[in-house]
Amino acid sequence: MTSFFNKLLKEKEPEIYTTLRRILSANDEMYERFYAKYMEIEYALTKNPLPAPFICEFKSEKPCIFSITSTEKATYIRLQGDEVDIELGNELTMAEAQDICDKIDNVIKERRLFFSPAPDADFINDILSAKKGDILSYNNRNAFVCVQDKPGNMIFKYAFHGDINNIQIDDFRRSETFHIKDKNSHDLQYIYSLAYNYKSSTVMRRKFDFALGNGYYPITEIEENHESGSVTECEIGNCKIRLIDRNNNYVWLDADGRRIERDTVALLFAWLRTTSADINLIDNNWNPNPDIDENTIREIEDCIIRHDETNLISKIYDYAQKNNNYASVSFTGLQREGLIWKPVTFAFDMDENGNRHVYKLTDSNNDITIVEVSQNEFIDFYNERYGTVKNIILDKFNNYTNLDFQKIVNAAKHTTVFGSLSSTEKSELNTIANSYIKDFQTEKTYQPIHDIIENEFNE
Amino acid sequence: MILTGYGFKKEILNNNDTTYCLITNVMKNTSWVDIAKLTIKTLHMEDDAILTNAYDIFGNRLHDQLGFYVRNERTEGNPYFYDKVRNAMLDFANIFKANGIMEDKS
Repeated sequence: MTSFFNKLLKEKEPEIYTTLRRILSANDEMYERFYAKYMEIEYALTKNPLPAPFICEFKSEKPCIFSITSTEKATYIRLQGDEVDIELGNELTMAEAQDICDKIDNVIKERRLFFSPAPDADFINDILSAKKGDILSYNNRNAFVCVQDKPGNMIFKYAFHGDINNIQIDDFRRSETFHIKDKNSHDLQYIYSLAYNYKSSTVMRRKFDFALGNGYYPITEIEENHESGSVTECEIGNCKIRLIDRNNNYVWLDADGRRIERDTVALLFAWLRTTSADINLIDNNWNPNPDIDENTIREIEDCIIRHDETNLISKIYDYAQKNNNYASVSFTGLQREGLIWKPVTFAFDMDENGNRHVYKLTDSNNDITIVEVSQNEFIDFYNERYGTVKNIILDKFNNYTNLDFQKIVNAAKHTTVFGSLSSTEKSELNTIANSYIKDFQTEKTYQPIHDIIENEFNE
Repeated sequence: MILTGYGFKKEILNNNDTTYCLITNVMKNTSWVDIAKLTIKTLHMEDDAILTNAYDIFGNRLHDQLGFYVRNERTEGNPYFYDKVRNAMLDFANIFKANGIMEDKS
């Protein structure tokens, strides 16, 4: 009975606590600094005061308590515990407040503190069953690659960490490492907090074919098209990488001419090929709207995951119409033009006459342009972002059976870099092929493969 | 045998709790089925591979195709595994084409 009432009480938690948790658990570029969260918290508390202090207890190696109290005079935020005692609320200038917020940021980063809910069983199982080379990409765009899958000592690294407008090769080269021993590991819970999407209160893994191996396909293609003695350049947002050849070997370099490991480039392309667009609710100035409608975001995410293009467009305009002159939906992602991937944002609006408009924002070296584009341009972008996932699967699996055979044969001519058969396997393949052909031409049956019987079943 | 949809990555779980992942789908009644079998034979995957129902990436059953699956363990720690299988299948296809067993559509 007690637990029932506890549950009931928990469910009836004042809304302001939920709002504070959502602000604190945000981990995108808008809330990168604690100062931005502090401003947001103060604003939320002016509209809805705290009935009692908000307290978060962190029981890590160095335990500490984070608390928010609000009085008529000010809002006080305190981080107190083992070797730390920082208080915000008594400062006199903005600069002073920013300094204190930066100190809180440092402790949060150093001790890997998080404010998201505890991970659920599905998430824990998903992480613990990851295999080496798997890329776990989540709907808040953060992704992690499994570099060791030994039970009791699993290791993950950030596959991408940062703002899509400012991708750095170092996001892939020297990323943060997470060690997971078991389901109670602090790092597992920390990964959950980094994967948590505060906008829709979800953690959704994009369960496409995310594997490090996928990144080798595009880089092999780029290497095949590279002209010897020249420089091939790829631009991914602000990140520029170059391919050159030395002594018949391909060498990948960053913008500063430092060498990049082929595995790192593969990881970048594996992420790039499969990452999708980020959705936001925005106001008239294209700023994310803090009054987030969780259900709308969730419904849109659901359409994306199901690749339901028709419903997606209709939901976007429904939302734009409901919030006319106030808010709209935007998609931010990377649009491909040859070997250049540019960050773009599409926004949708329905005017008072019911006419639909799509606008595209591009930000190139702080030169911002906004133009009205056709709905088809957005659909092309959408299909490129979500269709690539489909294409990877099709390239890999289904093309064996269709008319693109010659394309695959041509591509396969250069695939000696990886996945090639050993000389023993080649020899065995030829022997088996010859025996098969001999039997086939004399209308006999080739017995060995009859042991491998196809087994269909009804569902 | 129970079939579980795993997002777009198809996995099959058999009665012995063995998980298989998709390598490729092949059209029924074509040389590709034999090529899949010959590849299984060449790469010694008889105990690790199965040919059974095929699905598209949205989970719809493809009645005109068969799915070529291998035990997950075979692919672990080997990001080039798919390429190896692909290369073997293409080698067989090239030999078949050269001998007129398969139609050359290029």
